[in-house]
Amino acid sequence: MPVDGRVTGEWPYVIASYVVTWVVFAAYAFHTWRAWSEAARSADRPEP
Amino acid sequence: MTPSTAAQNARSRKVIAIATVVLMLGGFGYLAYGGIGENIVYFLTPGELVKKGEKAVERPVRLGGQVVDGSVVWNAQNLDLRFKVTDGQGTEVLVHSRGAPPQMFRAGIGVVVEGKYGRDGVFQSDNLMVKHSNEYRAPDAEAMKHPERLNKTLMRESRS
Amino acid sequence: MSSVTMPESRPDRGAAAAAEPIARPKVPWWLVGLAFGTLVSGQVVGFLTSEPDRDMGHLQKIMYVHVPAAWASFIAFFIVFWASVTVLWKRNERADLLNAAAAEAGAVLTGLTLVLGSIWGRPTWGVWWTWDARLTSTAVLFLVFVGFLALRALTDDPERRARWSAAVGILGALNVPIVYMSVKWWRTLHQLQSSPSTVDADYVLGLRWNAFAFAFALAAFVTIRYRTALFALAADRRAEARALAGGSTDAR
Repeated sequence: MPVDGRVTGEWPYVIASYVVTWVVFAAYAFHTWRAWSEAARSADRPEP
Repeated sequence: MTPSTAAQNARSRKVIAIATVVLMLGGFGYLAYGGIGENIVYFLTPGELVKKGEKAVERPVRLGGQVVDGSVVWNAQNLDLRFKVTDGQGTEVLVHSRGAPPQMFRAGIGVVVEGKYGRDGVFQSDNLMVKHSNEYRAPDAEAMKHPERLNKTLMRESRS
Repeated sequence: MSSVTMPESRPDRGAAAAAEPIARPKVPWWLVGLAFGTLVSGQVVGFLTSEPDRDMGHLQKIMYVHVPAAWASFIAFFIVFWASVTVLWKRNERADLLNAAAAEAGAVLTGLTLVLGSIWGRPTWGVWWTWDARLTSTAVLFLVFVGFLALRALTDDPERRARWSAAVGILGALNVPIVYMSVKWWRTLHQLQSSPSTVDADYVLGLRWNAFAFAFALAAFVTIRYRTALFALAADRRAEARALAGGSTDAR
């Protein structure tokens, strides 16, 4: 293996970074949606 | 929801919250003792290392600078690497490292090495890290004509 | 806190509040669409316009998620600072809910910044992590806001929760300029801040586009989380009013 500063095999890291980004956004969106629907459920609860 | 499950939920929520706070305090403790203390000065320049003399010899320390052009000797058979690091102000230190360096390693790039400065004047590196400059350039002809721009930013960083 | 109006402080409204329907807040779908659209298009543009960097090749493309995540977290903590000051100064209950929404989004984005930085650091620097001032101060920032969220989960009294959150929020937000300046103030493995003069024009376009996309996503998350909290608070208030009015056990 030469020591010349040439970088190879970048794609797994690039893809991993974008996948992580989308997974985090999706998980946070899910968390947001769940909190919303829980609030909606208690708002819709009929008067006892 | 019955009162008992509500109370259980509140209790398990508290347990999780307390566990988080404990973990966080542990994290702070680790940062304070393992991290920040010695790392405000993250690395020494070759000039500073040499000037420290006996105080810096055979102690774990970080050395940072630029790899001197033409100083890299790489033995691919036994993964043995030798090169010189400069602070750009006339002091150079010979570094010896084992194992394959990061791919971006080359003559002229910034590095930070962790290891010990030996009495023989050779820095024995346990960990070789590449310090990239804040320049991002497409490999076009214009940029390649000005390698000194890269060197300039690197040296500004290691001087500061 | 004077503005936290518990039902018992307004006995005249008790019965009416118990029967009141709760208005459903609006989801800012236009903002959600804008965030999603700019995120997707920004990444497509980033990939199409960026030639491999002369040092790090395609790894430069990680810039388009790592840097915007960091910038967006800074915006979130700026909101935290403003909301925290408002809580302490004006005793404003809504500012506390905004504070929580921004702190949560900021913590998520800081965590994302750390993970993406680690993925970027391994192939470029050669290490996943190192204890330099930039990385360490960012880790501290992350921990402060994880602590912020834990503290909120731990404290039931809304008045104390608001005040403690504001105190931690201000402390945490004051860490942001330290994180930002760390690469100038101390020697680090992390490079200095880039600027348009150190980044090729093609990369600047992708970076800016993605930075706006992350800012829109932050705005969407904070808005929805804030409105959810208002919504949940209104439902809680009504449940309390009902419990007082009818003596019902459904006081959750």
